[in-house]
Amino acid sequence: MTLKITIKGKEYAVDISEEHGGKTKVKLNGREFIFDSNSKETITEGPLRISDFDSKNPEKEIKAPLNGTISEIFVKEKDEIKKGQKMLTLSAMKMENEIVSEANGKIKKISVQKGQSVKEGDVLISLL
Amino acid sequence: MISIKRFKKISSTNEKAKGFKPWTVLVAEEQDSGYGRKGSQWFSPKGGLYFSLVLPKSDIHDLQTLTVLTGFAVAKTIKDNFKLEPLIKLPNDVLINGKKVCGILTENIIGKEVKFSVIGIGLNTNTSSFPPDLRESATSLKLELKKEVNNEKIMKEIVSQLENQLKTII
Repeated sequence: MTLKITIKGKEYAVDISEEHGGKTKVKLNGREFIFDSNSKETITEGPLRISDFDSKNPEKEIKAPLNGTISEIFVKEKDEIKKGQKMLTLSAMKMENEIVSEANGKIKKISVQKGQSVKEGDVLISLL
Repeated sequence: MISIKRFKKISSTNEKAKGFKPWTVLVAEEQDSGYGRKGSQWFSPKGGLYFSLVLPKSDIHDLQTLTVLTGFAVAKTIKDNFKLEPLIKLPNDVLINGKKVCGILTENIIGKEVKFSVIGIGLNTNTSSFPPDLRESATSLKLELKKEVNNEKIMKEIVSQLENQLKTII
């Protein structure tokens, strides 16, 4: 069920649901935040900022595992992707490396182009 | 431990291998769409030896070793069995008399870590002739030796060497 709440004149759509492993998912205006009820973190009083949530649920990023060149990109922004789906190939050390998604999701941003050189750790794709 | 799957003709042993368990070898008599790095075509007519080995996950920093060890296994098998002097053009080609006799393509499937790897080997064994654009750069064991060789024996010897070598790092 989606609740609509208004804070200081701005309307927020909030959807709260239970996830596997005792986790709780809060969807706020389309953005998802996962809370772990077993967490031992101390919640301090005070105003919460969006960045507080972000730090607990970082955006999923696909990073280059090796230095190399992007040889092919198989997805585009806004594509829904499934766990295990091939997203791009990175040519490195004369090997072809298929980079696959570790989770279901949606492509938010593709930060590289075919033929582009990348370094280990560079963000290639961001997922929602 | 090694399981061998045989095919008369398939598109590509590397592509097909991605659906098989580690330590499976797929060998084809002919490939429709054999490929090398960056999708380049690998000439794969009947007579040649085309096979792929599926490997379990390994440390990402060991990946390049896979190709090098494979090149070594191929060159050693050629040297041990025939009066030829193979040269490993690091990391992924084997040459005889300056011409390519074997190409190796390692493909890694990577998520957060390496999930598995496929090593593809295209060895020109009994290839009788090459198209004009490859004639200057490619050769085969048959062309070099002026006689046919036993594909099955060569494949098993390379696989056996690979199994022994790779177990030290996987």
